[in-house]
Amino acid sequence: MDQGHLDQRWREVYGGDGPIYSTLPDGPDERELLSFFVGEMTHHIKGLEEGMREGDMQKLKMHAHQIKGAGGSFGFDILTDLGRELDDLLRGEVTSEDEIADATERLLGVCRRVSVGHEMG
Amino acid sequence: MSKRAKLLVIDDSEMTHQLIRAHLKSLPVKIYLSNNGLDGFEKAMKIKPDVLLLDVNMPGVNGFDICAMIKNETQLRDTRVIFLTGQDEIVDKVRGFDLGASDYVTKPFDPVELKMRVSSHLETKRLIDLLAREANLDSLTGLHNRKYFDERMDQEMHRLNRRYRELGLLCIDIDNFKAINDMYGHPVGDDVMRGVADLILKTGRRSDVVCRYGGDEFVMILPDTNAKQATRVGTRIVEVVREDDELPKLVEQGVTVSVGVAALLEGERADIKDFMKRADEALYISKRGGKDCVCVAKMNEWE
Repeated sequence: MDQGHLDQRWREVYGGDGPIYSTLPDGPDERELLSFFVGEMTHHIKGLEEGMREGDMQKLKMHAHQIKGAGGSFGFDILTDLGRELDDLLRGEVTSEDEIADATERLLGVCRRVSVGHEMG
Repeated sequence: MSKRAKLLVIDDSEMTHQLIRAHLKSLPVKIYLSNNGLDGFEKAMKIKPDVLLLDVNMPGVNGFDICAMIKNETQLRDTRVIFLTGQDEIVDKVRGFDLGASDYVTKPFDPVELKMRVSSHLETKRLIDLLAREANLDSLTGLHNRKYFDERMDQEMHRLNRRYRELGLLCIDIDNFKAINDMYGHPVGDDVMRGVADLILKTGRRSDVVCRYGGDEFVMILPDTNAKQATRVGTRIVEVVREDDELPKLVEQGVTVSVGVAALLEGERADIKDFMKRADEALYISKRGGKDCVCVAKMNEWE
């Protein structure tokens, strides 16, 4: 997915600062899964913040990689997209610190809005 | 499925563990979890999973290396390995299959796809196990067959040399079986064969391995058993067959067997051929000495 497309989708679907809900079907199993996932998110948010503060690229990469792997499977495709964006940047050899900071902020922004429950209507 | 199938997940992400557990909840399978390669390998050695879901990208030892280690272990060789990989990760899929993997599943998971794939590999594994069991059985008597005997004997000899245990071996032959076949016909001969097989199986101990070696000859592997104990088992078999109430209903004069016993001492080295020959020679002496009896092979150390 190219950067322009991601930006556009990001603005259209995930612009604003309200809660973001999973696209998984609603059911007791899914709700249990999602409360676990949202709990895990606090751990990853902490990790990403620490990674940025300490300039620890390994730590950033580990959290980006795990969010990328799990996000889509929990019904949050945007997390997989943004996790991949950061993961790719960190793998690249010519990446500016600004780019990494932007991508991390973006991922963090979505991580903080991930919520249990479902979109009404 | 008599035993519940086992699935092992090796993935460094706790979130993946939870997802897999939730998606596969309705499958009749016990799920084990591990979050790193080497720990996962150790778990696999212990539980011998039917299917393994294996993450490719893990810190430390990666999935490809673990797959190679698994496929190197005789007891894990038939485990169905399914690799877990990110959609965008350029992994060498051919390499995975070369290493013996059976399938790939990409993350993010499609719950239905994950479940169907795991389920299909569980069924394949069940059939592989069934086939392996069938291939090792003698169709007439239901005992282990010659093929199984050769493999098992090889293992036991190996263990003997490594752990210095004793090993007993019995060769058991139905007396005058050819005459029984000639006089009563092959269907009765088959019934006699089955009857004797059942009696040997019942008389042996749990750890003894009874095989039909071919024709009317049976062999019995007795792990951790010395010559004296093996002779006792052989004597019981001769008595039980002689005194059985059912066999005289098939063959008027009753049925008897002759037994040859051989045993390897602690730490003794011998090859399978030589060991078999000793038991067979003892059987021959039983036959010459009037049948319906047990003879023990001369020990090597007395020679």
